Amino acid sequence: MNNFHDNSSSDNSTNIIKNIYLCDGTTEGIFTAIYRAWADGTNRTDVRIKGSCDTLSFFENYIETKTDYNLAEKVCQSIKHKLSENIYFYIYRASLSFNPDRASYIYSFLQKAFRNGPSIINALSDNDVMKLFELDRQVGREAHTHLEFVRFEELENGVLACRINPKSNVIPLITEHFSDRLHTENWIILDTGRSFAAVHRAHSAPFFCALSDEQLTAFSGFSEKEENFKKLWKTFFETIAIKERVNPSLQRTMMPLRYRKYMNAECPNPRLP
Amino acid sequence: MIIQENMQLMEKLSILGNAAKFDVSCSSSGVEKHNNGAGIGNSKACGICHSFSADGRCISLLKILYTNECIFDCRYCINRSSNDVVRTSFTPEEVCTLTIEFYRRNYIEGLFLSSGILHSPDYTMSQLVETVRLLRTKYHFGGYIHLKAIPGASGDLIEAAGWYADRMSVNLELPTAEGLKNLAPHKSRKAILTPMRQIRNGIYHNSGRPLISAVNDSPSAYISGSSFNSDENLNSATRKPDTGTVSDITAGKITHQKNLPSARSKKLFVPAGQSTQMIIGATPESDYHIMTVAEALYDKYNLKRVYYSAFVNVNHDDTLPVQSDNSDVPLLREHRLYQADWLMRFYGFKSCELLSQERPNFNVLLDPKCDWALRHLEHFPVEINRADYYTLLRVPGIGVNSAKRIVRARRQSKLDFSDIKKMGVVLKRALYFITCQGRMMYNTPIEENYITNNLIGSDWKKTYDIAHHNSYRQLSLFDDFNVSTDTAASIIKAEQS
Repeated sequence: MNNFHDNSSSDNSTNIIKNIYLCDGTTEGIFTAIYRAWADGTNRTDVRIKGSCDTLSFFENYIETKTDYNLAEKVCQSIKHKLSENIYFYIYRASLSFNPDRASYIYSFLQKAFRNGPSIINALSDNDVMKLFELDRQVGREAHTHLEFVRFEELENGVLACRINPKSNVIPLITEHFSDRLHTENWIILDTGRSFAAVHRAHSAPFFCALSDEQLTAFSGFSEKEENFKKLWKTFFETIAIKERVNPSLQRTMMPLRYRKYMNAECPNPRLP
Repeated sequence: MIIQENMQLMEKLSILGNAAKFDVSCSSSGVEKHNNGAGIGNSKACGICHSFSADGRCISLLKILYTNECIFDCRYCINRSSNDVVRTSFTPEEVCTLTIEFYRRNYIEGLFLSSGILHSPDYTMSQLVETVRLLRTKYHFGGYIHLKAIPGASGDLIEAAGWYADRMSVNLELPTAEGLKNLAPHKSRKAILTPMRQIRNGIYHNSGRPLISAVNDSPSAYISGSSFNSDENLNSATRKPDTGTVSDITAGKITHQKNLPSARSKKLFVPAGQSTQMIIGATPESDYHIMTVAEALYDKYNLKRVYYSAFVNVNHDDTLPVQSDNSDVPLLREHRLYQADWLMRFYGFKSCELLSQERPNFNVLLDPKCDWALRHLEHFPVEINRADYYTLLRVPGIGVNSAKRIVRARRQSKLDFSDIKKMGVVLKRALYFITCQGRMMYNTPIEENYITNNLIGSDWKKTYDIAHHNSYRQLSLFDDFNVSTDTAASIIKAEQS
């Protein structure tokens, strides 16, 4: 059941080649490719992330796009103005997902949304809308989990360092929370998989940066107090459980093992170097 | 009584954390606060769990007792005066250090501070107030603080505590005054209800509006016919109209009230509201009795939460129910009570709809909502594309989120089973009670026995796991569920078909 205009049916029989615009996986990259694909003016376009499609198709024409911040900004503005801020937030979160098809999902959603108007976001029975909704939900959930389970460790110089290894790129979504909460602290949150970090200097605004391998090794040498507080936390963590109610599988459901890699007390295995 | 001076912080934490573990409340929700600019800390309305202990309960707050010395002798309590256990106390500075350092490392969302009764209720309460005062004014801590009000403490101390804490609680301990008299001879119902009433009135005068609608974690505040709408003299005169009316919700326009202007501009008294806790299974009250008490607490005291704590006989007291092993801890009963509590707070059910004098206890095999639906088959089947929000909420397998999504999506196009499945409806349960565009999913009769057998068939593993969380015994339908041969045969038949 679908009341929305679909463009796939109006086929141009003279041209069976589909133009695939390839981009890097960043939000700006995806937006640039969407701009190019849209500018193509035909229905036979798609946007994909470079390296996400292993098998090349004979009927597809691959065009690499170079991230252009001006074009990305234009796409961003037209989503905000022609659709809504709310929809922009959905799309922004979806673009941070680890799903290799996210660019394509966002593009097919936008094609439909620009034709049907902003109320499309409520049409959860529509496949393209549902896919975007699921991406958004998945990223939102992972971001929230990272508010819960990330741990800071105090380095010798008093800086609080935190390592995470999320599936999706959650750093942009969690930074605001911590810059409000730990306003008076110097801290850094590092995504070890992406070598991407959020850095916060006390009483000022945070910024994002990519770290080099050399900078990554700087995460060692904890302060004197650090070991003590880790032990205190471990003590508390262990004593607070009621032994008559022990239920490891419930614990694992609530706090999956993959989040515990950089947790001290909760990590079931000795920490990897 | 053993008192050890100069005990190391580590030992103190281990003793006083252990002593606090039977306090259930660990939520950090109900208040949205930004950083105060001077120190660390903010607060999210949704609450944040930071860990889960080995029993699967969330750890959100640093939950400790200030002291486990106690002049009271409550039979169920691990810290009762007649127990020979190591006694110790924190100093206010120690509590502050632990809180701040744990908070900086994102271990916790804030502090939960309770206490045994040292010297007198007033002395104990003054120590608690001093601790949170220090934390707020010297360390400028802006995170969450849940503070216990000590029954019997003076009104001035409770008042002072309320201006520092986000949430306060007084434990009701047992559902009846009689139970309290038998098991906690030093506590009285009156001493418990007095601070509870004072906190309620304080919240009311401070906010000028009923607390239950403060933040979005209590949608039932909007639900007509829910237990919250019963007028209480105190509030009815000045109760402001709620922003989300019934028609708004059915139109899918639920507005989350976040960052109310008053929430930042003025000082708040217990902004996250108050909660309480009852012990389940130590005294012979029925589920119905417990639910009516809880309902009255929500109605009359505007509580945010009532917690239920499955009784664990830590003292091996002869006068209390004997528990030979861990499977005697009434966890399934506790689970059912929480389910029913949710139905009252978020789904618009009343306790008298779920249970009655004649049926005073919950069905062990079925959750309370399925149980209700099976006794009210005349309301079903419900048409997904037309039924209003509240009717949808009453369908087993449809929750608050999925009901909202259905209401949102069906204005765009007609919905089918595959659509609502994607929206989070548990079809396994819902399919017996709904139609999509006039058709049921399968050709299932709306007949109590048939549906009961199928629902039990699909849920009994889950139910068993809750009741027997850490045993590895072979399942037996007859011993574990008291199922008679007739029902068993029909269950097996239903499984096979």
